[in-house]
Amino acid sequence: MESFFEAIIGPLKAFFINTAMFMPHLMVLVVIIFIGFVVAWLSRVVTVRVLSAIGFDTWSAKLGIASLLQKGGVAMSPSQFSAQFVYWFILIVFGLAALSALDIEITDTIVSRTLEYIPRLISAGLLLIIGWLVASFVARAVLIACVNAGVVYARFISDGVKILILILIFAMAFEELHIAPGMVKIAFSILFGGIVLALALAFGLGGRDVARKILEDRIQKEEKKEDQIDHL
Amino acid sequence: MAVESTVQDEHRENAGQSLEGIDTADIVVGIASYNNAGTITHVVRAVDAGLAKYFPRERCVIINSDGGSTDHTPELVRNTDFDHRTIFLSHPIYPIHRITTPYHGVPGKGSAFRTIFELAGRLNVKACCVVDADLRSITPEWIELLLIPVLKEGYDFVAPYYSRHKYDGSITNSIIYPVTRALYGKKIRQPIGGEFGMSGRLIEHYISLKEAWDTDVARFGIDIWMTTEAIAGGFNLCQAYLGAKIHDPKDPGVHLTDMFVQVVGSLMKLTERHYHVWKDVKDTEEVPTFGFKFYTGLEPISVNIDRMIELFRLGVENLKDLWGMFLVEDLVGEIERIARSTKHTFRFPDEVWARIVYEYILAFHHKKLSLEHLLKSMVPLYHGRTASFFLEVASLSNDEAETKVEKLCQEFERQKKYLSELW
Repeated sequence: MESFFEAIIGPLKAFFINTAMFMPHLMVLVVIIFIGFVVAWLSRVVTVRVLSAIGFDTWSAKLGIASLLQKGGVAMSPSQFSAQFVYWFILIVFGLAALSALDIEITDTIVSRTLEYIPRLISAGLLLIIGWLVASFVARAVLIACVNAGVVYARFISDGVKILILILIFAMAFEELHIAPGMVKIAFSILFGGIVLALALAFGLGGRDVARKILEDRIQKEEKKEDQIDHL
Repeated sequence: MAVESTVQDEHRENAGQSLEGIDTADIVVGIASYNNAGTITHVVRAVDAGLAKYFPRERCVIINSDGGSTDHTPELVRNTDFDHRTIFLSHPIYPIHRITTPYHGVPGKGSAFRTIFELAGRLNVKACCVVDADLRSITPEWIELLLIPVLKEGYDFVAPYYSRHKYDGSITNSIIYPVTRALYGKKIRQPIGGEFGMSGRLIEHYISLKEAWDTDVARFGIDIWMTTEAIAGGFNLCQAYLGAKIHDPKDPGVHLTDMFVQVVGSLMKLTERHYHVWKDVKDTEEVPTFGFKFYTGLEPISVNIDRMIELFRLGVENLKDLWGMFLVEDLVGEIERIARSTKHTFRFPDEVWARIVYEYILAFHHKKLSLEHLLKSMVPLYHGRTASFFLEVASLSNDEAETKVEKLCQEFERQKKYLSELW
């Protein structure tokens, strides 16, 4: 009979001991998450104020980031969006720290792998942001140059240049994130090569008449008498 | 910094070697050239004759600053022969020296002028004038008119005043002259004319502004820079009526967009730099004009107005979103309305154009877009305004067309307050 009670109490005792030993870890987790929420909230408030003070929204509007967010359905200003990003980033970091406080093998593995991945996430994110800015700048320069050169398909050429740069940037970002790197390379090569081939075919075969007209117009234009104005 | 300094020292040394024993001079005439074999002989002969006729007692030097011509322009400058006895009863007391020197640094008219100014500074001249090497209508009297106000009347800066075809000088008529006049209050009709007379004092001032020479001032921005710095520096200004300006067509390799960016970009930078000068200017005043104004026959000019309207409409179609980043909404709407009108009703009102130019200056000041994109995006609007002006003055005489320019200037003066308030 005694052994029967021991058989029941033993596991219960072990359970309570383990629970008692786990409770401080759980408490630490709760405290870390709470602190994380407070720090993240404060950071969000500070980030919004600092970015607004330095005119980040105006600057972003100039670079086309604001319109990009609008097109992406984000109903926030760039400074609010950045603050939200900071908020979630801090929350995730604290969440990982909280998980590691549990001192369980599986959570430790998740935390260490996630932490290893964070630098790649950041660099891929930066790559996308810089890539977007470069693509927008180059596309705008191409658009203005084409308009001033009298090219009727200015918008088409400008959008094409932007898409090509963005494809290149996305391929680089995926490569950085180690998401099926071989597949990305192959997909990029096929897509990029395909676009070039499609353009060549479209222009050379499908758009033969258009191409002929453009060339004829250009030749005729050169033959026309140029303006004799001295602009200065 | 050290490298820049070394390059500048080397630049001065090379230029200085060209003087070869000439210690001082009273007058320097500078000619900036690049592949002007067709006209340079005429220009040198006119300058030589002008100096011999009007300044026989002064020590004179002609400096040709060449940008690496491949058509023997410098050789023509050195070898152009002029026998003073065929025209004058008396000979110049001193021989008129001719120096031809390549310039260094950024390729362009401004760099050529820099070399001329540095040599003139070394020679400690009393007066200097510069003339373009592509001129067909230059006469010896141009030299007199550009130098006499400096030597005899005490002026520091002599701007040219020409008779021009109503279609010529469209950047001058639509932007440079109205803005310069409205901002600084001086009616200098050809602020980027190309021929100028200057005192030794002003030359020293130009040389001292070292930071400017590596910008667009080294290229086509030089003319507006010289005029504006003379005004902002408080120098004595006047104009000289030179008659008709007829010259070789501009190098087709120089694209309108590049020229526009250099000239208008320089104007905007100068507006930024001299805010403290123009912000308090309320009135506009005439500047003294020397020379006898006479009527000259002007060569007809062919223009393709349809093409200009086409380029304007293409700009509206593709750039209206970009303009929306720095032009107020109703102005973009007005531009769209103009683009929709037919050729017969195509008009770019003065008040809309003046507002656009000021909005662009404000966008430059508030750095709303990269400078190059900003300036290049203005070119289609310039085409629209120019086409409208040409249509408006098509049946008018040159003098009647001039009244339209005057009206535009008054509109710029009226709207200056808007610029000042939003600065």
